[in-house]
Amino acid sequence: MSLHRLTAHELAEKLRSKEVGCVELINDLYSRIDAVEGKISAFNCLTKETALKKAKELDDNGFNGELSGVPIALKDNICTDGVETTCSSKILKDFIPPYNATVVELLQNEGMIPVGKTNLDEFAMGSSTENSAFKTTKNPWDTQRVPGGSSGGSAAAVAADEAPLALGSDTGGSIRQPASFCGVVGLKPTYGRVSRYGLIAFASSLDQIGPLTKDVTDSALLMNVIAKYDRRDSTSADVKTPDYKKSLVKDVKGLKIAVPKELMGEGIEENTKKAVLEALKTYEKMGATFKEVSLPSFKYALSTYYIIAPAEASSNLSRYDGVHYGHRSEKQNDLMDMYLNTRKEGFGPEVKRRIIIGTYALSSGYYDAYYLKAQKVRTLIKQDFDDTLKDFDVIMSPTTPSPAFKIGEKVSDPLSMYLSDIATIPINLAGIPAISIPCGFDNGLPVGLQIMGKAFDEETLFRVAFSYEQETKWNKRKPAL
Amino acid sequence: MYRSCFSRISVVISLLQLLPAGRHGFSAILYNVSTMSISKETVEYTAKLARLGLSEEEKTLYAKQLNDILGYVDVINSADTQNISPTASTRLSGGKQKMTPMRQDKSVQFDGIKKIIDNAPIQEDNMFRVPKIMGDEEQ
Repeated sequence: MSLHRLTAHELAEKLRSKEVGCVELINDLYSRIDAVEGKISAFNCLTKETALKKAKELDDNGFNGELSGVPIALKDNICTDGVETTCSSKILKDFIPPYNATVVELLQNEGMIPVGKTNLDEFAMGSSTENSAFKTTKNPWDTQRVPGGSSGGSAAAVAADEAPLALGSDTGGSIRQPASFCGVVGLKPTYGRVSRYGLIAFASSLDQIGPLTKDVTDSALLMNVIAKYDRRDSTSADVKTPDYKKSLVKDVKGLKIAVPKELMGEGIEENTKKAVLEALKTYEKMGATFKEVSLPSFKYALSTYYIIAPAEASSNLSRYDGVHYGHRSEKQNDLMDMYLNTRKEGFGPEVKRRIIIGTYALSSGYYDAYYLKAQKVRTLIKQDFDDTLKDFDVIMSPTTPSPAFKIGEKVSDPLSMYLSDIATIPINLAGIPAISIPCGFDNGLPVGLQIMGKAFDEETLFRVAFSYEQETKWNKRKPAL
Repeated sequence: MYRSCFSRISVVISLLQLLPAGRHGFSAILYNVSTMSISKETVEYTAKLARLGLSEEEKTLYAKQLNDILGYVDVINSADTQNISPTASTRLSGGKQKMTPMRQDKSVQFDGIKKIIDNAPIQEDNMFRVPKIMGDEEQ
């Protein structure tokens, strides 16, 4: 039986009914990884031994949680006690975290089984995984193409049936963009909904952990596990988490959808637009209405992001100094030498570029013109969302301007790479949740529909996304590998 | 004596901050302001602030790319932000998002000290070893 093809909720059901054992399931998954990983390169490391040990324990003791016994892949910027966590950077090679991220603790309490750490753009900075210091992950739908990024390893692992579920992190689209490129479901929860304790920081006012899954049901079930208040993350929101399973109903009658013309015009490829329009018509058929709106501040979003995110990153990444962990240069005559050479040797080109942009934007004489100005424009972007979501239930757009691009196509032109996040970035600036779901194909490559909602209202996103999935089944298609 | 010494240092530092083009001095400042362009020297100076070593090729490349990127982000200057307050974090702004509670500042015992020290590139007697900090002339 090809267990690896199943969703997490299907697997959990088989485990609970004792139709299959957990050891059998884990062995099947690693056989699948052995078979396709050579083509995909989704993982930085695998933890087969501990996974099998945990599976055996569960087989002996039973499955208590809704997702007990289900394997999961973790993005390699989420700290795992005793398991190397590298951020796909040379500067963190061989770093073994002394503790687990809160999300990892929550998964383990549920009885879920981490199977490995997935590749990413170095420190989650990028849109293709080409900025990884170790490897470039391939898109399972066309291995000449990128899987998106920065959570490209997590998205590709799920699309290639190397894991039924994965966790990623999203600072400007890093869950949704690769989900769209790989034809899977990716959710960026509301800022503050999921604890970032143990997530290696990139841009702290934007980072958020979220699920990459094969369908909307799995996304909701995984959120039931990881969305909890955590006193160890000072931005964690102390709000009650609803049971997201209750949102899995097919009902969009009377739903009001806003469609920003700024994300359906210039710069968006025709076939992508067509697929999104088809999706909107499907919603109309199911009883929803949609209307074009304008969010004029969107034209500033990418610029705002590329000041705020590098500024925060330049501060967060100052901790990599060669003293406490990770790489230290051999060339170290004095302290300054050690800092300069450690960071020169340890960071890759994109990380260096962003440290310089961020340091420049924060430096004396430029702070007001760049950083403060960007923070004010951020307020405008947030206001545009707030205003729109007063009159509408959700906002919809393409997740990305085009399907997956070719490996190497944008790597020498940072600006064109940044533009692939144009539809996802505004959401992080506003702190609201958004989900990307498959909504069609363009020449065999998946296209994603992005659904945005009010802060702390993931329930509406799940209901709206689930309704579409029931009607269309795009998520049932698999890449030929 | 120490005080005057420090104030002299801070004057030098603040002057340095005014000199985006390092040794080219004032002509470089004028050049920068009038064209909004970033020179290789500015990249060098900024990288030094960030304690980031760069090769000569990297400095040239980043100067060009930074000009492209900052030229692009300049569009935000056309946004009208009069009377608009800045958003540093969406968790700090009003309304429904005001749910980040204060907590007691209590220390919690962490028993993984060895695991922390074991990650150090160079350790000695349960401590992080660093190169000498004082220069030779001050010893």
